[in-house]
Amino acid sequence: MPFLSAWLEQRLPVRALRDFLAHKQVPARQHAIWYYFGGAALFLYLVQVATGVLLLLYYRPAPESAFESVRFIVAHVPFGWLIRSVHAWAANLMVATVFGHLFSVFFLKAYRSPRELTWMSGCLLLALTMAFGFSGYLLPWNELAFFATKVGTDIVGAAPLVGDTIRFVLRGGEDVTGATLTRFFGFHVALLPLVTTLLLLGHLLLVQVHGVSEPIGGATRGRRIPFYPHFMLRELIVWLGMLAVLVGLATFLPWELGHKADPFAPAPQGIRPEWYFTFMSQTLKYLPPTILGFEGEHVGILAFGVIAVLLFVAPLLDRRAGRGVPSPLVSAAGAVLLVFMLAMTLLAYVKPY
Amino acid sequence: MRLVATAALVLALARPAAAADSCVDCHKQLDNPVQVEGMKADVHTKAGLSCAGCHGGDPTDPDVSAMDEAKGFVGKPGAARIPALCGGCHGDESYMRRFNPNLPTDQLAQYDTSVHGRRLAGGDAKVATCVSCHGVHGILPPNDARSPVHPANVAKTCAHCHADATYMADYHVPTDQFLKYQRSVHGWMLLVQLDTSAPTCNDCHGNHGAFPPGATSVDAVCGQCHPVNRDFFVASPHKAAFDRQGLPECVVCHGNHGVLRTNDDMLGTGDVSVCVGCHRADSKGWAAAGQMRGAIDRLRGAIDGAQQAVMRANAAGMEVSEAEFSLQGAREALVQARNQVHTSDAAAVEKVVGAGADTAAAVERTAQAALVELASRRWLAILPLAMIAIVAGLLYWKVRTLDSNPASAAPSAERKEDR
Repeated sequence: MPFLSAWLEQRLPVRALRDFLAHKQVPARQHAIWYYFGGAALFLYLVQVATGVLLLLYYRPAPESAFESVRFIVAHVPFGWLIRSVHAWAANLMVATVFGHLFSVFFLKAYRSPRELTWMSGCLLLALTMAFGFSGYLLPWNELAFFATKVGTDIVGAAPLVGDTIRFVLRGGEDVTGATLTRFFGFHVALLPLVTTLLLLGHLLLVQVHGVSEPIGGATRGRRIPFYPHFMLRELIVWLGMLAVLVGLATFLPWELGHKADPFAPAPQGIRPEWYFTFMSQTLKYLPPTILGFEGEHVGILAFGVIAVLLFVAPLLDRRAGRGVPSPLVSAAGAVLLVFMLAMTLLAYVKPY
Repeated sequence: MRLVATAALVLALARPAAAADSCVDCHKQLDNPVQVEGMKADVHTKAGLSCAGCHGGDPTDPDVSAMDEAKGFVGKPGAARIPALCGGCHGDESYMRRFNPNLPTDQLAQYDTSVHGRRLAGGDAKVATCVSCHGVHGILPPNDARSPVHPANVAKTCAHCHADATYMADYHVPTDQFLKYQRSVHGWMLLVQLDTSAPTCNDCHGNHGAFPPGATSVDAVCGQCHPVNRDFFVASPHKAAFDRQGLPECVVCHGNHGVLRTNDDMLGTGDVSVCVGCHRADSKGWAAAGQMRGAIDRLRGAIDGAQQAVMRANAAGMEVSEAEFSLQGAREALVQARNQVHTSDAAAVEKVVGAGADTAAAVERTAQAALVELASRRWLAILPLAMIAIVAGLLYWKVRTLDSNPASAAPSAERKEDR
């Protein structure tokens, strides 16, 4: 073993990495669940890459074969049901985890200087995660996915000025067709993974450069623990927990395939986009046709855009947090946004019309 | 030069005045101008015909002398003259070809053979003639939904006379056909579902040659739309037996105007079965009816069982859509078996049922296997979940050990400055 270690040391900076890990420290907190969302999201992303590659071995991205290929995976490929179900469940858990990561960082004010770029790259990773979900949902080409994509692209189309153009580009035409499927496939397996991986590496690098943030007010009273093995073992327990949840969900609640999409069939009743978009679609339903002379939907989409931009530049706006002083107004604004999103999502399922 | 050009322009703009029609000019000023107004939409007007085409006379004569018998004026033709009047043109192939080469020209010949035509020839002026069904002064083509002879309106048109008990009193025929038809499966299809392929009065009785089908030709009438059942019936022992007794074939079991949607209770030896009306309890027919009903119930039960299993597997998230599609084969076998009943051959029904039941059983086995596999997956999942729990527990124990050792935690003075 010493020989192997020496051999590797001559070729790779193994000692430097070991020293880095040995000296890396993180804040110690009694109730530090919020610190694990980022790692959990990373674990789920790795699961998605692994299961996605396996699904690619059989998946065929065309309207006449997409549904059939997924059905083949589920019904005939050994453990295909498990891989597909884990991929579907992990996608949803990943979106939820990334949202959890975003709001935990927001309320702990971990975005404050010098971690502005870490926050901004994280915001972009959330957008990319939602894009992953949106593009992947259509790929089985089943009835629900087909009409949910129609609704989803219609929401995008309601954006002022550029909405129609973006919708046309996303759909590859006026309507959701085979052209939409092939380009969503391209986004899902080529463009989004490339951009996400690069951005994720940058995000992780920034986390290493700046270390893990401590809450304002010094809740840890300066106490710290070594990253290795103290925090890493805790992280490993969380990852194992996520794996157990995934295996349990995939086995006990297998993700349904549904019926093949029929573009000429009427839309099923109660169709809605994926749960993480419903707060937007539900809000748009409540808006009046015109607001101050402008089309209601346009105003709604514009408002969501403004909120997204404000969230993106939150570290620059929250000057108090930047000085290490609590900023309850910003926290209250975040809480209002979170409650609004949760309420609208709940309404979309409890009282959709 | 300018004069020549002006003259040419005047000539070019000048159009020949519409031919004067004294019938229209006078009758539109009378108290009841309905004839003139109605004729605007009439198919004959659109073909270029005028009042004189039916009524004779001279429409170019602006005076009352236009209605001179010497000028061919026939006035309002009586019922007895109407078929011949219409047939004068509609029976002339060379004339009708000018308007529609595909239009039949045998209406008058058919009418003469109909009950209506025969009675009219016998001097009964109450019977229906051409205008009774097609209307007058505003006749529309049959494919126009407003026409009284459009498929959706035929039953109501016939009922105008045939449902009028007072009007029909002299003929001693029932007047409840329309009421029965409205409640029948055919009436529901046509009048409620607006399916114009569903049969109405003329599809069974004929239109111009309207006549009640004879007892021995009922199968031919119903067989226009139900050819498989007709062929099975004709080859069955029932055909000869019914003919011998003068029974009206299909009508014996299904009724005529009030034909209802069929159901399996019509077959067998139950109280509402149509078989028990003729077959005694100890007869071969009774036994065959019971055997056929039993076979069909068996297939229906097999399909229901398979469907339930498929639904359970689907609800559990298992992929059984291919098996679900195969079940369509069993459903088709059930339809075929119900058709085979018309052969009265229990063995033939059993054969079809057997094939369908095999398909349904295979589907049920596939769905049950999917449910068994789901259960085994869940049991097998316990193993990795237990392993994960054990490893996580060991890791947690290790973390607690590390936490309980203060020497393993880094002192705060050494910490990197975080904000």
